[in-house]
Amino acid sequence: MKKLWVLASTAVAVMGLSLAQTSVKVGVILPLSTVGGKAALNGIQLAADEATAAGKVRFEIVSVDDGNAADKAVPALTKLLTVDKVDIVIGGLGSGPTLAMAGPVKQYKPLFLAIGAASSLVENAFTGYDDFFHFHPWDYHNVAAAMDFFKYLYGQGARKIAILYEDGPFGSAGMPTYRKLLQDAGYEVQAEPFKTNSGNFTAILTRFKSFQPDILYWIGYDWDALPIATQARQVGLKPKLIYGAPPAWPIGFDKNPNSNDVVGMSAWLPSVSNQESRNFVAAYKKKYGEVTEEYMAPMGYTIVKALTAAITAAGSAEKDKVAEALAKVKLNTPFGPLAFKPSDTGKTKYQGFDSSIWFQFQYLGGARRQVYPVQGAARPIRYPGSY
Amino acid sequence: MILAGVLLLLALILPALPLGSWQAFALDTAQFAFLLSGLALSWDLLARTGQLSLAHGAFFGLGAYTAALTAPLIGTLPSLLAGAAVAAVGSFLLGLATLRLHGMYFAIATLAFSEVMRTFVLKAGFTGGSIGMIVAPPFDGRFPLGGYYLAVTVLGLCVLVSYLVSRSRFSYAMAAIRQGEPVARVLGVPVVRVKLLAFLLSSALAGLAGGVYGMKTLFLSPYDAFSLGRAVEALVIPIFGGLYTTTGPLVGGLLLVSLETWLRLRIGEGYLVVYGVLLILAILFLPRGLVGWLSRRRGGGHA
Repeated sequence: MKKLWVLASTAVAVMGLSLAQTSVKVGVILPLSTVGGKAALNGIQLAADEATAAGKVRFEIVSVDDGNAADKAVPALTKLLTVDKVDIVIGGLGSGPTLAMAGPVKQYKPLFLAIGAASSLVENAFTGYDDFFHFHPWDYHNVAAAMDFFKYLYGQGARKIAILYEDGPFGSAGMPTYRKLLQDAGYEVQAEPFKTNSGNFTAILTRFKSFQPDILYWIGYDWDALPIATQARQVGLKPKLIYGAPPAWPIGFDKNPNSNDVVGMSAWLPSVSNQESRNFVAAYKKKYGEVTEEYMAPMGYTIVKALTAAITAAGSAEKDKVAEALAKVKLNTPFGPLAFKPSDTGKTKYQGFDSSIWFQFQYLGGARRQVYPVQGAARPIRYPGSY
Repeated sequence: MILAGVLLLLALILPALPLGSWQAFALDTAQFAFLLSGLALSWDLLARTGQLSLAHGAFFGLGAYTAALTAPLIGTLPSLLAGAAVAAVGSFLLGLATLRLHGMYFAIATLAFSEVMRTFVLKAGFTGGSIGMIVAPPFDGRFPLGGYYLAVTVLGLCVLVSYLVSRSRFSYAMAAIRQGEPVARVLGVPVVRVKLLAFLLSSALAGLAGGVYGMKTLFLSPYDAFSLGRAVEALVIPIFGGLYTTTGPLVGGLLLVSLETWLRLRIGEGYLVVYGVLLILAILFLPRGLVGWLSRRRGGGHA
């Protein structure tokens, strides 16, 4: 009899929980074969599980791979919207596939929560589409954050900057803007393109030697990081600072002695000390057995947290009500406070983060330490560094 | 050819088939499959002269960029023709310089051409450079199925040209050149002229497919439009389907795109491993392609 009572009360509790929960099916479209895409999906799933366990919102996540290509992304998104019939989509990591997705998004009108896609072209493509929430900063925010740091270094005596940029869209897209902004800030600039993953930078670095730069600034991919750091030493370039801007840093780079004193920019590190970041790191480690350094993981996590708050506030998973509630969400996140406002250009209505989430870190003693802005720094920057 | 006709008819009536909630997805997937199959058919036209081109990604890109840049000025259809024309001019210039080369040397020259074109578009200001450019939908988006039927038309045109060429005396000249240029010359075949004409036809069709592709993806970047991967796909599809035929690249393209899409949906991460293994098996055990294997089973008919 006692057993029966326990079973009955458990059943009632479960039924009550499921009745109180709002169920929502969310489509996720990401480049799942990339490190960033996988990290983002992990973060999304983690926050979805937390929401379900907390009894607030029961998420059903349907994920598809955008193949990081337009011709794969368009049918994949169409499937989410028409076959899986989701009204809410999280995705858009790369700018190219996101631009291609603008067509089906405008046709089927889902609530589209963009996790990446920093190119201003995306901002133009989604102008006038009111169910577009862009969480990641735009490219001009990224430039502003980096420029703020370079102005600080100018104050520390830096005058010459040598830029090594990969000749693809990632490296060369912002080059004319960067060059002009740096020159306006008083820097003498010398810039040269390179082919990413070529592994041989000695010719360019040797040419840079006669320029005697204070800063060696490279824009490329993770696989370029170590050859540049190593070969800059080999040719005796001796800059006062090596500053890298890859989308992700290579795994194990921190363990290599040549990484020491190298500086870069990130929106998040596991060492970020706010409460939400600490909670995220602990929960992520518990679920996946590791600590991630990919900022796309907390970005995915943040999006689902914001969505949970919006659905809870709306008391419904109905797309328009959720969008209305999401516009008013104010949330503390691993990146800091989140609230939506129109983008700086006014082209889109709901922009989440801006340049304030970016910070500069330096590889010091085998770990990344936040060094700028000075007020949030874990350690003072080593300038000049030893290379 | 009956099979090709049936497939084209199916393509025409696909939007009217009762596919339920899968319809939009099927149409999107089919549209990309048609364009890729069209590109493969165009590649096969040149391959019939024995030349292995790695420039078809570049012709595709030239067509895509030209159509995207000119569409706001002259409209959808003229811009697509302009794309085909620019691709043909590109191939003519490339052909004049390289068609006397053979085999691997020609392939390397076409590969270099692709790189030069990509770098040009990357550096040119009017193309949007490395940032890429937004492309308007066909007919300013007034017809929801406009892009789809453009893709069907491109595929139909590629099938028609491929079929007419294979039924003409031109195909004998191409086959003679493929089997041995010196012998073809002795037989009185104007080798360079035949190869140049095949190159022109082939590149114009590739450019046409590229133009429609850009209008579907609504965005072009040099790395996507001039992708070497696409040039390789254009080569793999006819090998899989059956070289020097019309049905081979058509069936190969439709099957491979469908297979890849299905694997991506069913397996997700790591689907390319399965896709790659299946391709290797097909090439190992179907040396004459799918169509060649079917013909042999039927008793050696022509595909």
